Amino acid sequence: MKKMVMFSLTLVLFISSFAFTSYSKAKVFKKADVKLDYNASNLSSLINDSDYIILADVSKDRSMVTYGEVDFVITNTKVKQSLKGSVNDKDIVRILQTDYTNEDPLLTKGDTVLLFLEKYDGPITENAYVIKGLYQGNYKYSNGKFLSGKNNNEALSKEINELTLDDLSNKIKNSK
Amino acid sequence: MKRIFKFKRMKKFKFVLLLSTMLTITSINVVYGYSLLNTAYQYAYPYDIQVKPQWNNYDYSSYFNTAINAWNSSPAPIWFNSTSSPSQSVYIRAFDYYYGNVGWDGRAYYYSATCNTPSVQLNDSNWPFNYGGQSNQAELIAHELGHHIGLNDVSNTSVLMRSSDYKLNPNPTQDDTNGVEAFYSRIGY
Repeated sequence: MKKMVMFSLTLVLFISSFAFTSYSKAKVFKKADVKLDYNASNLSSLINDSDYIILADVSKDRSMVTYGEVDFVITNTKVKQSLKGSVNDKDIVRILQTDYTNEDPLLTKGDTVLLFLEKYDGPITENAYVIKGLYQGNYKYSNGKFLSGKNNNEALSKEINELTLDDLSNKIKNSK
Repeated sequence: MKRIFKFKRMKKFKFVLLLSTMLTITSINVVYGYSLLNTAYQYAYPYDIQVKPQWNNYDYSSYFNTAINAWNSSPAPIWFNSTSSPSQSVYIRAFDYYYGNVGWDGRAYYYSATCNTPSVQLNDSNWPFNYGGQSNQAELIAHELGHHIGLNDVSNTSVLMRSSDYKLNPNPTQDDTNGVEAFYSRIGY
């Protein structure tokens, strides 16, 4: 009887670990790459081409939408500082992103981010914003520094990483 | 005298060795400009990668065929077959929808255990992707197919796999085909 119980327990453990490994692997391989519809030649053009620029806190409120066989994610952010456009401090701004997409890394809850935005115009949702140039307009802000994630636009990334928030704010004001 | 001569020859040899090493390193950087997608699915039969087009709003057929021909006529060790009834268990679906200004013209979605099939997704909201009055759809589709055969986006603006912008040319460059060759050499092709 004891042997039987031990055998069953081992079997259950084996099956569950196998299922967990398969699930983890499956998640890793659900990936996509996109051809961007916008390329920022430098920071000045990214500033000019973005309708809104905000420094915001990423909240935990996130929803998923599937449209046209593609998964999208809408994340709420709370504006800390509006640097460009008619968005007010403390406003909640909904950011629409394409899920599983290398060029559109999802916002992480608890992060403070610098986002270059434009209003979303399409069938997926209303009252939402999209990040201009995807990764090109998405920077984590930590300890007074802007940090970029995956960025093929190395020149742009370098330009932003060297700025302080005040530098950027002045650059935006001067570009108006 | 003989020793001095030997020493000079030794120095010369070292210099030539150093120079050739530097040249080799430089040439490697130039030749291998591609980047591989390690998570991309490796087709078991790369000489019969089946693609099923299912156009919803626009007929992309001619651009799609141009893109497929561009890859098939390249030296890359793959062959795309357009078919309405695929016989392989894993095949690529190509379709289009209006997604709005989500930031991308096209998207390549890879095979995984949890999704039915890999796909090429075109964003009709950016139709007709005109650049100087010419269409870039064939280049866009060829680029997305490139992801399905193991190529990652690169910042090099002269290759098909550049992350943005168009050259109105769907033909893969030597760099692109070298990348596919490297990807499939792992399974003996």
